[in-house]
Amino acid sequence: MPENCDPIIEVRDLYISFYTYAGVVKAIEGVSFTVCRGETYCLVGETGCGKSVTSKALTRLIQAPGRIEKGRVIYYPKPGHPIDITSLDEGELRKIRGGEIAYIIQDPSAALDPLYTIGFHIAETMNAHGLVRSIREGFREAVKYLNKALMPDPEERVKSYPHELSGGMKQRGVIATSLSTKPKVLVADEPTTAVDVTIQAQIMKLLKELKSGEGLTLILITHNMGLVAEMCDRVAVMYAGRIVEEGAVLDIFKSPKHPYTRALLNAVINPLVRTSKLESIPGTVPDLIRPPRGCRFHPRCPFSSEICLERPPSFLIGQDHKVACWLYKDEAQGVEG
Amino acid sequence: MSSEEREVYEKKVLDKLVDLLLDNLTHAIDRVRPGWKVRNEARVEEFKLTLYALNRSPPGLLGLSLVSFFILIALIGPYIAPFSYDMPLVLCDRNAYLAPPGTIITVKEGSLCSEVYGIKPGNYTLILGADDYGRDLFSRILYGARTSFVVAVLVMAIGPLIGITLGLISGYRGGSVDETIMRITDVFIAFPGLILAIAFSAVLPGRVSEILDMFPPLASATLSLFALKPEHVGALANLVSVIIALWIVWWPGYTRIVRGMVLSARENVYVEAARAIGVPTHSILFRHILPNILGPILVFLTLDFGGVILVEAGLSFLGLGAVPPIADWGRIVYDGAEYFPRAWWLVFFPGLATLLAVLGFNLIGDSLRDVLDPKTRRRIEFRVKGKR
Amino acid sequence: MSDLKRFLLRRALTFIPTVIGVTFLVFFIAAVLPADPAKLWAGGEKANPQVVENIKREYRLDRPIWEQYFFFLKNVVTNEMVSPVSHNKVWEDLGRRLPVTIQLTLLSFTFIVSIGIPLGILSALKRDSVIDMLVRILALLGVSTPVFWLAYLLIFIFFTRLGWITLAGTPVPPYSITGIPLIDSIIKLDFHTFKQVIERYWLPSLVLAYANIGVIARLVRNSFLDALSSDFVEFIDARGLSSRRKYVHVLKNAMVPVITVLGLTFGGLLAGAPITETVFGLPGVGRYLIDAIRFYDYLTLMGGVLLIALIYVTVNLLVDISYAIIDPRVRY
Repeated sequence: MPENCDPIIEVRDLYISFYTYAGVVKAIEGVSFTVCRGETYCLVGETGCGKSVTSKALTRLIQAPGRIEKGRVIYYPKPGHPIDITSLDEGELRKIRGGEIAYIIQDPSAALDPLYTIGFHIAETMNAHGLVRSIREGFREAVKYLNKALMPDPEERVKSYPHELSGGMKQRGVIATSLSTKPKVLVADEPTTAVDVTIQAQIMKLLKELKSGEGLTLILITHNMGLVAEMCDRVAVMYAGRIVEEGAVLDIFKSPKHPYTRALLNAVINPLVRTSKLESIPGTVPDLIRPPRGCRFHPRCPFSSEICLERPPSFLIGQDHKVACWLYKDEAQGVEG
Repeated sequence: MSSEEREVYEKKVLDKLVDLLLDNLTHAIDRVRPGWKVRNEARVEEFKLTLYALNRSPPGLLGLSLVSFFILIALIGPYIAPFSYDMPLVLCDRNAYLAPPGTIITVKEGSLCSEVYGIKPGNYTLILGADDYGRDLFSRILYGARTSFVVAVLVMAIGPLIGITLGLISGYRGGSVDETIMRITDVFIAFPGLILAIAFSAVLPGRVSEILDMFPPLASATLSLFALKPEHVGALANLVSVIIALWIVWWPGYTRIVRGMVLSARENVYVEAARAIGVPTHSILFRHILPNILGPILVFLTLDFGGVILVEAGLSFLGLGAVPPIADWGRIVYDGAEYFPRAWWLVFFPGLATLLAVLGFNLIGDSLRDVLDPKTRRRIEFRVKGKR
Repeated sequence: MSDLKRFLLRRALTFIPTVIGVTFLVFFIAAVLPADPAKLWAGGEKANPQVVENIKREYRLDRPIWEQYFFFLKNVVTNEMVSPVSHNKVWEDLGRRLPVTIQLTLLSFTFIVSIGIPLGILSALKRDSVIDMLVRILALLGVSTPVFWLAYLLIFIFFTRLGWITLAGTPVPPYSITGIPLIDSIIKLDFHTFKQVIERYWLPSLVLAYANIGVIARLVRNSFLDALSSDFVEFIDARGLSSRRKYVHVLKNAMVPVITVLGLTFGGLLAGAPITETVFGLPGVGRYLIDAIRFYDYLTLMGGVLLIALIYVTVNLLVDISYAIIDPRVRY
């Protein structure tokens, strides 16, 4: 954790399982991290590593057959005022969801109800959080937020149905909807996966501007290393439901420690290091119904040994840099979890 | 599927039957068209899995047994019936008149019955009772299964075929061909089905009997299909009219559905790829599109088989289609309704028979839909494979 | 709303060729008839040849087929179609029977909507419960039961055994606004007539509705579950909306496919009318058609089929319009 960190969200020892017909999928096991007020915190990893599930757990959005088995999520609306989200009742939770912690969902074309206009979505959200007294009033406000989300021609677009908008415009509509409640934390789950490359850059620029303009804390979930380098202050690398490495973005890119992080960075174009050749990671992502014992990466790891059958704790190996790998046992300055 | 995975199946007797049937069938096809087995292995395995899943669905099994029983009765019913469908037992014993279920009648030695109609003297129990001519209801219901079955088979063999073909053409060709076919389909769909069927069953018999008179072999073939006596050839025209009327009514639904499915199948990458490498149209249609829409069509066919039986019973209940003395479930009710509720059995049993036969097809169709639905398919697959 | 207007215009334009096609097909019904129905109308094989000739001339049976069609069409439009059997104007005869069929189908439709939709929602909310299974069984039995059989069964219970219903007469109030007693009595707040109508019609309507209640409930259930699992619902939760708001969204989305099927259901009700009317002795259009067939009154048969098809086509037009109002996507 950085020295001057004012925590806004703390996740402690989170366990999430999905009870499917095929068996119990242990999607998240023992995930802990802290997000500091005002920073951009990134969760990275391959598809299915549990980054999306973790982000949803922040406001208990996990739906059946998923279940939060164990762990705490603490939210600090003001410094020193912790709220335990995991023990809130539905009504209080709903105020925080969307009101304090807002989401931008992966696929904007599916996030909006096709039978209602963009304006209605914004107005409805504002109305639900008591920011406007009626839908009609919300419609007028909606134009303001669409404008803020850089929606072209907002006075007209407020009356548009989702199917009348392009992917990029829909995503701007989703962003405007999420912003309309003036949230403190914005969770963006792969906000650019479903839109064109040219739009991606625009959306990311918009998020950056909004973050500084509105004083938001941004939690970004992505598998795109380029985005991580560009946007994030701190990064947590996830693999198979666990955080394997966490640290400041420069530390992660310049001196990745965990074999998985290194392999991951070798598999994509590392924006900070000159690479001659991209490599793939041998093996496949483990089956989380019967995950490997100990370190979940060990079956694919070139450095694995006997000890890897035991679960590695998080070794602190420098200012604010943690890695869950036995290789760093000796140089560790401390141990967590 | 690997051989290990197959180990975990808890094989049922029915599964083994499926294996036996399909393995021999694929083997036979492979003999005729070498290499077929290898090429279609995945498809056959998928089909087997579907059947295994059906074997584990209690409603599906109930449906399967109802339908098998119905088909069995339709095939052998006329041979095991105690009496002929038109035998007026009142001639033997006056107690046969509107006899309630369980009535025992006596055929005396040397009576008209035994001398002319060749019924062996003795006591007979009319287990389901008899109608106003003293015709044995049990026998007539057995014969009625044949009537229902033959009508349904003939309707389902032609109507959907027309519909599917037009749908394939319409969806694949597009343009003005599509527009023309769809406008015509719209016109037919603009009529509630049964109403159009009523109208055509009413006006067709004249023409049909002209045709049947012209082709005596056709008439006698139809007679034997329905297990009717030669002297009842005059009653055939109305029955055949219902079949033709149902052809007229039963295709447009398929055209619409198939067209829709073809349109969405056309968007698939594999179809585009096939077109891009120059695979001929008919080959794309029959090799790539048809097999992929076969599942849903199969569900509709199964459900509609029951539907035809129900509609045919409805038409003959309205006095259209089967005419006396043909044994037909709807017609028995129509004739028996006059004596309702006194002779309740004339309404109750034929209706119940219809209900059970139709229910059988609907149960199969419903389970088949679950099995073929991608949303529930995987859950069922896991159940079949017996994994935890 | 200009989208909507354009959609309505286009929909209206496809309506016209369909109606023309419908008249063709209805005319074709007569064209199938062998030789000449004139002989039948004149009294059968022994009919006076002069009378037969007259009838032929009157009904243009001696003219080319296209001329016959235009004659038929002209008479349909100008209400000049006269039945050779009853010697009444066909439209007027049918018009007298129409209120019965309309009351029957309307009441049936009310049953389907008011029982089927809540049952479907309940079944979706309590998925895989006993209720869900019962709805499935109801749907299966509904599409498998012969209507006439169910009707006789219920007559046996409610008429023969309990004596709760009557099977004779149809209540007609002394006044007439729309000509349909059910609607008139509601407009006039005439509770007495309303009660009479309901007493006479509830059982036949329920029988007619029965086949569709389960089907609609099942459809509502599936489409409700589909809507519930769509991504926009996740975003609704993420936006912190109340569960009441969530279900409003889900329900509205779930209704989109249901509306189309409700339109088709109306066709099923019209089609089922002949059987239900026959069993319950209701003098409606369906029953009249069957009688017309018995008396070789093919003109009335054609008129009746045309009438029912026109009602059905119009209902579907209305359904499509309401569909477009609810779902903006179909306006394109």
